[in-house]
Amino acid sequence: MNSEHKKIKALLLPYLEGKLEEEERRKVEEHLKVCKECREEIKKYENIEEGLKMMKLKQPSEEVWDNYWSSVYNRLERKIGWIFFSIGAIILLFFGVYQFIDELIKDPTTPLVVKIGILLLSFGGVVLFVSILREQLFSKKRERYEEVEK
Amino acid sequence: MKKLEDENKIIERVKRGDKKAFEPIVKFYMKRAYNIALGFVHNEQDALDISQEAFIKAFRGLKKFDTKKDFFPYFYQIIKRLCFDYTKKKKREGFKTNNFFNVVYNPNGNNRFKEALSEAINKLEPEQKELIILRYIEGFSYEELSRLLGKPIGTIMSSLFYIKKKLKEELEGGV
Ligand SMILES: [Zn+2]
Repeated sequence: MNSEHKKIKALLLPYLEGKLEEEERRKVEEHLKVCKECREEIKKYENIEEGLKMMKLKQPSEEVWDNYWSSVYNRLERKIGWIFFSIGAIILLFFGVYQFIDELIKDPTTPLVVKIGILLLSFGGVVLFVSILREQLFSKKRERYEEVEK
Repeated sequence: MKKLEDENKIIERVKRGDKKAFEPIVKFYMKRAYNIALGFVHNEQDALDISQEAFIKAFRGLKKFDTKKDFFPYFYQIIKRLCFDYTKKKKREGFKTNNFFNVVYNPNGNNRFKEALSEAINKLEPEQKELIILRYIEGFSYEELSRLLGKPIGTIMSSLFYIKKKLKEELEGGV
């Protein structure tokens, strides 16, 4: 009886889902008639199954769903927008800085120390910019590689 | 597996660079994407954000997509990967899980059961939560789960049995 009980207990879940062969199914049903413990066990599983079926996940508001697509679309567009914006900004920035430095250096009243300082500063700036740019391009390339890898 | 009508035709159009054609796909899969992400990241706002990021990634990758295939399995790989990256990062910062499962079933007329069950589900491992969400929220069959996750049906089934056993033990200990 006890070993039978153990065997049947292990079959309760497949039984509930109708995954048992005819013969095993009958054995389980026979056992259930005489075993209170297994009947209670089945009840517990049924409750869990029912609970899982009726479970919900926390959801954002309807408004979020209404705006979902436009938000994805904007993000798609924004990526392209950002590229143009950054290129434009970089061009303007370089031009402005160049003019400013040019004026200061040509101005005879600017002290020599300031001129040297400006030259070093702008040289450092260019090095930094190139290094950041290279890093960005490198990570983009790697990202694309990872996508292909999938 | 619920699939969008004329999906392949729509994807052909998206592949040709028609951004607007992507709309029905996003609208059809957005809730599923959110639910899946939520199962991994445990945070509503981040799940929403990751789901959108996944659509953008999917859009960009579509150029190389074989239109004879279904969109969802392809999308699923993308979103799952984003979620893994996210959790890896979060684990370093100390990851806290908040309970986003809401069991409404109440068999004994008191609230103890539903609270205990949703807590027990929340304690499951990430892959177990993934399975629970795909099966019970999204309604995937064993066969669909087997194809999506690349595991034999028998494995999927016994994993789900194991999960239910674990839930039962958790409930017996707690209630
Ligand atoms: Zn028994």
